Amino acid sequence: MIREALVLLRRGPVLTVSALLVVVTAVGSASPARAVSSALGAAADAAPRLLLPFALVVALWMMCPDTDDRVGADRQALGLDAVRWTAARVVLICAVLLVGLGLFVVTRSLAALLLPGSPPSADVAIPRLLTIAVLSSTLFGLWAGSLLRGRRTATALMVSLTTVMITVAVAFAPRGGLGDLVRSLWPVSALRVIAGGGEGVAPQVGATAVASICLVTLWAVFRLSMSESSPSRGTTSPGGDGRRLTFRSVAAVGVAACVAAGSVLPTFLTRTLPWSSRPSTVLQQLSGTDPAARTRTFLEAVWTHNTAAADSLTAQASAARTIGPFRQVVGARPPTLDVHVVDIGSEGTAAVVADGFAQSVTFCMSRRRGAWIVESLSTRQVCS
Amino acid sequence: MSVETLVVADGVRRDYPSGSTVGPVSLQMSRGRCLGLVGSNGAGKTTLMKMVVGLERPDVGTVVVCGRDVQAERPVPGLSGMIEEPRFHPRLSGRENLFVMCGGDRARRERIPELLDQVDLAGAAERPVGGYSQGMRQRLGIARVLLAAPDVVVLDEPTNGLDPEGIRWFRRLVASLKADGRAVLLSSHMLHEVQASSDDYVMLNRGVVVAEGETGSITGVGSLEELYFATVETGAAAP
Repeated sequence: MIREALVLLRRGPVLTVSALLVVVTAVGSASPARAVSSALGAAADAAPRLLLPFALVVALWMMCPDTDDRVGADRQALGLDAVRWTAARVVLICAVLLVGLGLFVVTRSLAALLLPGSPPSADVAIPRLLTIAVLSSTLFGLWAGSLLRGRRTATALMVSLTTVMITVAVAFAPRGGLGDLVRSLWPVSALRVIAGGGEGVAPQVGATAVASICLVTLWAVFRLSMSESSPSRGTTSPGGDGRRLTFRSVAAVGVAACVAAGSVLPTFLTRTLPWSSRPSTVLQQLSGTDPAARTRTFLEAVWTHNTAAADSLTAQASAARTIGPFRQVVGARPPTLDVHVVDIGSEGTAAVVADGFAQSVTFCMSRRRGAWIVESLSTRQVCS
Repeated sequence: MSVETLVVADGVRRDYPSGSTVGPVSLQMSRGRCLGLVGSNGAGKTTLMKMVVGLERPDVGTVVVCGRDVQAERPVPGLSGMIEEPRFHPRLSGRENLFVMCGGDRARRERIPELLDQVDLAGAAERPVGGYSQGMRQRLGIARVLLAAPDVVVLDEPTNGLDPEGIRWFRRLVASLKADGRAVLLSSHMLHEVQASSDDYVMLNRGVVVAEGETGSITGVGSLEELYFATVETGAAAP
């Protein structure tokens, strides 16, 4: 059985995946370093502990073609024992894990060769890149796998639609923290990076994501080639298995459509959708946490001399310093006050105009830790 | 069951949610004989074969092969089949594809060279299966079935993709399997091939048996093909 498992290793993807991961990590290591989000940094710190479980997941993913139910049916029809086959699979997974560990050693050596005398950047280290590569490969693999392994076109279309919707939502998610991590790892982020809409994703992340897409494309081609080697001939059984080949074609188109839509839609919507129509804005308005509401809260705190509350609503942690020369203008409650948002940028900034004071004042807001706070005040209706 | 009877399907029936039903069908297969399943698309041939090898569980009835209930005891030693088109790892060679289906059995591994010769693929054994023609894949699939040296061989549309020489080769193969004392269950749309290779036939139409008997006893209408059209098109049951 071990010999059979070793022969199975020659099927292709195992070696292809290993080689690509080496390239991915090497490319990532050689890219110019740039700060990545703190959440990504935390993930990188956990990389050594995460490496093994993720390698296991990748190994299982690579087993997908062999666990195809039609191969299983062939084995059963041939009178082979399923338990023994499971044992062979475990052997194969162990072999893949060994390859993964070897890969880890190789990438470290490669990085040393590529960057002689200058160790990888302090803020983007090899474990971090490796984590990104493994994570994004796994996620993209699982996603594409669910499309290609699904049994019904409707399922594939639902997965595709959900993926695109989440992609759009992620594009409008707050900057920093978990949002950046999700953006970095989301399968279709790679083409957004290529298209120039990197949205804060570090170059290394883009490189690994692009490589992930290449990897999964190869895998998808392999899967389709397997189905071509066993063409459905329009089986005549009432079970309706004859739809499989058609489904695979649909699924392949679905994967391509998702990648394309995921790369184009967020950028397109960011440029074309008015900020007032964005789902995140609507949600903030409904929950009373939009920039205008936060400005009113800030002003209320200033007028009631609730210094602690007012300070907590400013970027400088000081309402007095933030207001500065506008103390006389905004220091007293006017008879009527109209506070409205004039712009929300895609990078977590907003401009809020307050009319009713002696002169119109613009509050420049930024979004930090999921909440809008006051950065500065201005008499112009734009924030630089 | 007599010692010569290797397969007994007793009133097996499979119901589908769509409302279609295959069965009830009863059949017996004896050592050294070939039973041919014939019928139109959707008649239930493949479903019946899946029930015989244990890939589908009958809603009613039982299938006993070599004295064992195929649903209760899987895998059943001595039973091997090829249902629909065989599936291979395209990047592996023909020999390697047989190798990975040996299930760790040394006897099976040692049989590989002989089987590659038998199916006329010895010259292509080291080539990736991805480059095989459909006929070659059929031959390799048949070799894979024979790896286990089974007493009961189930072949679903085995002549698909075979050229005239391949069909002649297949006839000789079935004859040699029978001569070795094996029972062969095969299905085909090619009625004259079933008649040429089979000792017995079961004709299905819309899931039910409309005719059965020994192929040698087909008289009057002359051939299985004529019997098929006479039976199915007129909706009459055969004598």
